[in-house]
Amino acid sequence: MTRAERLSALALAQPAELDRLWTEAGINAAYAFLAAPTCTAVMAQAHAAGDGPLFNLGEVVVTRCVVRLLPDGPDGVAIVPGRARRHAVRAAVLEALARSDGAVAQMVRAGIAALQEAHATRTAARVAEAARSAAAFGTLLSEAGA
Amino acid sequence: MFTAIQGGAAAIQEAARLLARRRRGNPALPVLAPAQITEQLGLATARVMAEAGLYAPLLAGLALKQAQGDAVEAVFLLRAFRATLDRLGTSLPLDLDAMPAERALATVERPDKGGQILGATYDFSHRLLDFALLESDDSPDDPAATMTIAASPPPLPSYAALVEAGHGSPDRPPFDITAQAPTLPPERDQRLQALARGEEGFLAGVAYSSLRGYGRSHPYLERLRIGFVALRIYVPELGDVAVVAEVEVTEAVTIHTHLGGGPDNPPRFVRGYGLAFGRNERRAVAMAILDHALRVEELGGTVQYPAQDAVFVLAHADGLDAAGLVQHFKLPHHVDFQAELQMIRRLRDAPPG
Repeated sequence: MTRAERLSALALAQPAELDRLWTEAGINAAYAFLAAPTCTAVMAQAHAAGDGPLFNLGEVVVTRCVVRLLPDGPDGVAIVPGRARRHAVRAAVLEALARSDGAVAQMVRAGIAALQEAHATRTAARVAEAARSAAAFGTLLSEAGA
Repeated sequence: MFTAIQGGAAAIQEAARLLARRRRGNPALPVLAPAQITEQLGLATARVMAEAGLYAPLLAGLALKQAQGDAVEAVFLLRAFRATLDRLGTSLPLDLDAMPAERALATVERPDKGGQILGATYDFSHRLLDFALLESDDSPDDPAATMTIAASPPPLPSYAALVEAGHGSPDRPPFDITAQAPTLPPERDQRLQALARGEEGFLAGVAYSSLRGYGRSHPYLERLRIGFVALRIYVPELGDVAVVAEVEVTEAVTIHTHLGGGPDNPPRFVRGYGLAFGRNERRAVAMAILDHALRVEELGGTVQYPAQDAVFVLAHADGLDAAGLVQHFKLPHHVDFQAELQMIRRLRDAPPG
């Protein structure tokens, strides 16, 4: 996984999943904030009807945090949805640990891969549940003409 | 004329205490948690997020709790909260074609595959009060396991060649009404941002007027989709683009017959576009109808009706602005009224002729 993929997996994970990974990997890392967890906004942009002009839809609240593992790194970055300081701090520390060496780092990397998979499974389940309500509407006219 | 007022501090404190008690309601009933509002009053939460121009489901639930469910008051709270935040940056354009749809309608052509996904809709339900919901636990059963269906983008319509080509963006960053003073006439990007956060009743009412003879609007709903779309931003520390959130949105595309006239203006279909945070179908469809109506001059027509008048629509679409001016009359206006009173007396005392 790239750093960006790990950042995304940590952002889209449920906070409880993150806490579980934290406990299971026995994380006890010392770290300092390069950027304390801060609630901020990202302006979401979209194109009108696909190929029309770009416009500003509105802002999305996210929380950003940057940490450095003590004593000498590496650094970890997190940007997570909503006003979520704890989620942001834990995600930043996990992102930093995933860039380190050793057994804990390996567990963290495997754990983040599992978060990504769990998120994909959740999305697929939601879409599949919605797909159960797929309808093939016909009309009397088209059926008569067919 | 505005005049300062003073005094009443003790009364204002008492009023705040009364408000807190009224908000709590009957203390014998369990207190409502913001997450319950976000989860179980999702459509109210969506409306507040859309009109605040701020996607934050839990905070919108909190705002609704604090505002006793009043949408405009909740929007006020979220906008004030937004004012305390810095902006981290701007997303890459949302890729709505890649969004896995949890509701997808196509009303002008039968889609090739998958039919329509009705999703969680009231459209086909009887509007009868369901007294079963009076019971404390009304949780439905979990669905049986289902096969996985890959999300597929909407198919290309058979009439694609007869639809206008999008004109792309002007050679500047999109207009931002939260940071720039409005310009006249507002271009489409400015209009779309204002409509996206417009008050829903106003948008629906003006769109309705354009369908009922004050706008010559005859739209078809080409597509309506609801789902969670990835919010992607460039993260400088990584030198890479990452998904930092998934945002639930409703997208509506209307398609309209345009007769045109002349060689550069052939008969064709043109589109209106609506996009909103959250599950917001009425808002998204009304926005698309109004987006098209407000393109009248760009499409070679002239403004004849309120729905086509960008200055009128944009100046009055914001629910918070409207509520502020309408409700400020509740404040003391003693000085202003004294001036009017003196004028009336002077006029009556003046000798006739």
